[in-house]
Amino acid sequence: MGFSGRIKHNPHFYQREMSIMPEIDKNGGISKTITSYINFANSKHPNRPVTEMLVSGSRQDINAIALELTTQNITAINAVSRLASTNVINHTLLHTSHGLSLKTFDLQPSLNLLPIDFRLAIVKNRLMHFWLVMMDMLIVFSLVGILALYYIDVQAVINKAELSALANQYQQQLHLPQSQALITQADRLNQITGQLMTLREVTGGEENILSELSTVTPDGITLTSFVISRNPGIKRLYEPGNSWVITGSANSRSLVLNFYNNLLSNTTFSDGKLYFGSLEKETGITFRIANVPTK
Amino acid sequence: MKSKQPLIHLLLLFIIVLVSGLYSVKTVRDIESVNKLKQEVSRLEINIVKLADLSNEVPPLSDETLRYANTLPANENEVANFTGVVERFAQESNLTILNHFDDFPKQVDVIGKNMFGLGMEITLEGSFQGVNGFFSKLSTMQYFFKADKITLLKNEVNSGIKVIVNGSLIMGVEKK
Repeated sequence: MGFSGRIKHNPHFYQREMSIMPEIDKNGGISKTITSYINFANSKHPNRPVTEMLVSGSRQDINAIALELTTQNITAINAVSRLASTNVINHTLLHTSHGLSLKTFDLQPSLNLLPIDFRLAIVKNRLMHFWLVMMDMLIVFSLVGILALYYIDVQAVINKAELSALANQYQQQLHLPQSQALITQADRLNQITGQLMTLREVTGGEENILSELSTVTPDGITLTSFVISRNPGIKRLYEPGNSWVITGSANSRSLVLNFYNNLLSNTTFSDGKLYFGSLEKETGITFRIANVPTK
Repeated sequence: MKSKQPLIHLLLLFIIVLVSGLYSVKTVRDIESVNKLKQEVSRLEINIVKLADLSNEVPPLSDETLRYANTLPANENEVANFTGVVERFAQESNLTILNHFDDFPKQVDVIGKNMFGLGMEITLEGSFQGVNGFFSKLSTMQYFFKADKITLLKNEVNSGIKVIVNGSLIMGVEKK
């Protein structure tokens, strides 16, 4: 059996383990022994009298002892073993940096009478055990992860080998002489058709220029020269944008003007400018129409 | 009470983490290789399908290819054939013709594309209608003559005209 007392205005406890029965008998019983201890404590610390007693133990008459102390005007609380109660969920003591607290995880008051070093060792041991378990779990999970990685890698290596074999097979098929001949032939066909399509855009149609020139030239106008030259980027010779010069002679100025107007209505010659060779003459006129400056 | 230090655990854990890290790198590289190979195999599969298509489509086009290729002279003989054609056109149009070729083919710019071409000058003499007909035939012939400059002059000697055409006969690569 043991008892603990709480000193007035002081949160600390003092405690005493009562295990020597001869001493109890010598003092005339458990109640008197406790009372004598209280008296002794009060005499030693008169300014800090014992105000409350917590009685704990496994004696049959422990309730009677608590009641007797109460009759002596000492507030006595009979400590009931929490282990006996099924309501208490967690008997584990709360671990703190200083050891065990006086409360459990479920905030029930508790007392630990073990020496502080021993308690710290228990806490350290429990923490270490916790960490060991955690590390064991980590090791197990890591090993499982490595096994999963191994499986994935093996699958990847198998796939790689299969795909490499397939790629080699395709490469060989593509590099067969008849395949290469087909590819070369197709390339040549593509190249030629591409070339021909481009060439079709830039060649031919020169007869259109002469036909147009013939159409717009009236009687009485004689063309002495005509030069047309392809400028860079122009697809066909009869398209606008090329450089051209027409020189000729005419019976009258009005014929030239008529010819010039007709010429401008044609897209090939729409940007031409008219220059007369002799402004004073009314007949036998020479002229020049061009879209480039000439002498 | 003496607590056991978890040194072996820590060492084991370190080794496992190291091994799994290295193995992860290897696995990632293997997976990347597999992905690249998959892409390569897909590309090759497409090429195999194209090859199968080619084996069906190209042989019937061989004659077409040959016909197309013949439109681009590749040697002196074929240039001579072209000359023969042009001279025949001139004859049919009652024109006198004089051809002058450059010594060697050169790169010719055809709307931004470089092609082989043999520079040449064609001088024609005859009637205006004859020249017009000659150009019509030139446009429809199988060869490609790119005219870059046409100079038309009134013939001083007779009533006809003289035409000088500068341009290039587009050539193909020499056939083997």
